[in-house]
Amino acid sequence: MSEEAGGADEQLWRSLAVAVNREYASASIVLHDGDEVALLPPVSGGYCARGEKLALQAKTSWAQALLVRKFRGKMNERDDDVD
Amino acid sequence: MLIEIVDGPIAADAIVAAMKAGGDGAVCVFDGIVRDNTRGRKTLYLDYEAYREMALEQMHRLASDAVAKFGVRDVAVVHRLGRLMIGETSVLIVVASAHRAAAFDACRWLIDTLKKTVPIWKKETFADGAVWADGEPFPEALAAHPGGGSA
Repeated sequence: MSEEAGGADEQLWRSLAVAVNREYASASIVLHDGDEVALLPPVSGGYCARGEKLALQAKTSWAQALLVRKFRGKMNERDDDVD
Repeated sequence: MLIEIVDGPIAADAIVAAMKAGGDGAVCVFDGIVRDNTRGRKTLYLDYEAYREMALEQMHRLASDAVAKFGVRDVAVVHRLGRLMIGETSVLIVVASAHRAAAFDACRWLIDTLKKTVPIWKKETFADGAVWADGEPFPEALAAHPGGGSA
């Protein structure tokens, strides 16, 4: 994946985790046709006490940033990667 | 093991009662409930959302890991999604064990790890606005860019 993004985008990207087929994965993982890819913002489930980092200003919905999309790239030329 | 993501109220008492077995000497319960404020700011309600399929798989893995790591007999992990009002249970963790030390340790580890690794997010609505909770940085091993989360 690209690491070209700078500034705020760079910060956003570095706070994310990547999941492939519902497992945490490193950013360098090779995708295969049909893989389910998710970009996960820092999670906040559990109980209602979460330390000292409350941001009082309204912010973009983290959950809306969650992307879950089937990977349908043109991977045909990468058939050798399919196991 | 009882591992569930639910959309309605969590029947905590019934779940705890069902977890008890003859060989147990301790049942440790963590009942996470919605507090009426965050650092003095008045909370009206919380909305929980999840990447549901992955969250459920991660919760199953946490429960199995807890049994293996702490040697407890059985574990229940139930998380609720949707809108929760003050005092309602958002997450329930129950650990049954022959001895209390393992039950306490496993219960603490389960809630702490769940909060960092299970893909669930919450939006807090206050009397004077709303925010999506910041969340905790991912553990080093899970981050797409190790080292990036601590920046």
